[in-house]
Amino acid sequence: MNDKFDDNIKKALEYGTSHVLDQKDQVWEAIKVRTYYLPKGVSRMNKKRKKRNPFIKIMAASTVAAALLLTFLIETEPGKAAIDKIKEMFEPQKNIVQELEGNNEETQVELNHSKMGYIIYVDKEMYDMVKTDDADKIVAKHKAEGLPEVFMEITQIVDKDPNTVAADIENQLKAEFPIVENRGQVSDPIKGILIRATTGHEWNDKVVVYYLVDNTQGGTFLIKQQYFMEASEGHGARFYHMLKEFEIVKE
Amino acid sequence: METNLLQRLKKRDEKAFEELYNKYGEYALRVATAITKNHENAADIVQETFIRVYHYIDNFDINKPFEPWFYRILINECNRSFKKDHKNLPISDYMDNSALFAKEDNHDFVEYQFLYEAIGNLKDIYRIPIILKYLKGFKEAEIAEILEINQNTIKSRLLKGRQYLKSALNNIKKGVL
Repeated sequence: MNDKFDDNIKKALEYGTSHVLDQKDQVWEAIKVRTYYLPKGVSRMNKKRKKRNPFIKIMAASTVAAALLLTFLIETEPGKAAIDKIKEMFEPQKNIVQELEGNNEETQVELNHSKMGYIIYVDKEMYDMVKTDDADKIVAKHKAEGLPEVFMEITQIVDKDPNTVAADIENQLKAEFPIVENRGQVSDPIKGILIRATTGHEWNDKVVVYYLVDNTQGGTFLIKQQYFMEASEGHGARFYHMLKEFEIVKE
Repeated sequence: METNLLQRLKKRDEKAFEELYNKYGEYALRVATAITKNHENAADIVQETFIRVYHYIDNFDINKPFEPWFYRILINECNRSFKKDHKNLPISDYMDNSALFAKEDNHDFVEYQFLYEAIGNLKDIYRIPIILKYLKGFKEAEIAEILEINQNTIKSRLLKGRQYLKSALNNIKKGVL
C-alpha cells in the first residue's frame, strides 16, 4: 500500500500543516507561563464557571457559622473564655477538593489568623504569606521575569467606609490604567465593592482587582489582587477560592 | 533515552519539559491543525495537551510507550474543542490562509492542495486515522490504542478512507483540471 498515492497523502498533510513551524515557539511560551501559574486541572479552554464542590460548600458554611458564633461570644466574659475552644473549629489545615474540568483536585490550605481580625485559608503550596505591620500579602512562590508580580494583599482602613474608599481607589486606578471597571456591590466570592482594572487584553497585561469589604466597625478591609491576564484562570481562580474562606473574627 | 527524559519530567525538571516539547510539539501542532482545520484551536489544544502531560505525568507508566498516551490526550483535547466550538473554518478558507499554499504554484502542489482538501472533507472516523497514520506514521495497532477502537475497525477505516480520497481526488481533477 506504500505507493505514490500514500506518499502524496503524507506530503499533502505536511504541506497543509507546514505553517505550524511559525506557531511552535509562541505555543511553547504560552505553555511555559501556564506551567508556572496555572493550578492543576484549570483549563484555558474551559471558561465556564467552575461548579463548586459540595464539600467546599459545607466547609464554607461551617466556617461562616463558626465566625458568627465567635463574634457573638467575644462580647461576654464567658464568651471570651470560649474563644480558644471555638477557634478549634477553624482547622489549622484542611484539604479542599475542587472539581475542575471534571477532575477532583485536592489542595491543602492552611489557616491564617490575622491580627487585623479576620481568618483566611491559604494555599501554601503556591503562595507565601508575608506579614508586615499594616498588611498581609499572599505572594506567588513562582516569579516570572518581565511579568507583573502576583499577589493578594489585605490591608485595613479603619476610618473610611467602603463607599468612600471605592471613590478614592477608582480615581487612583483611572490615573494609572486605561481600563477601569467599578462593578459595585457583589456578594461572590465575598460581600463587598468590586473594582477591576487592566492595562489591556494581551496575555501579559497587568490585572488589578480590588474588593472593599465592610469591617463592621466603620472601616474597610481593602483586598487587592494583582496578576496578569493569562493567569486569570490560574491565580485568579485560586484567589477566588481563598476569598471564599475569608471571614471577619472580631477580637 | 525517552525513559530518562520522562523520569526527569516526573521530577518536574523544567529542562526535560522543554526537551519533550521540542521533540513532540511540532507534530502535535500538525496533527491538531489537520484534525481541527483551525490553527488557533490547534494551538490551544497543544497547550492543553502539554499542560496535562506536565500535571499528570505521574499517572503515566514509564514502561509503556509514551506516544500513544500523549496522542490519546491530544485527541481527547481535539474532541473537547469540537464540542466547545463547532464553527471550524471551511477548508477552502483555511487553504487561503496558508502562506505556503499561497506562494507555491506547481502541479504537485495543486495535487497536494486538492488532496489536503479531500482529507479535510472526509468524515472524522476516516480522517483522524488517516492523519495519525500518514502524518504521524503510527501503525494500525497504535492508532487503535490511541482512539480506543478495535484494530480491525481501524484497518477497515484506513482502507475506506484511502479509497474515498482517491475517488474524491479523481472527481476534483475531472472537474477542475
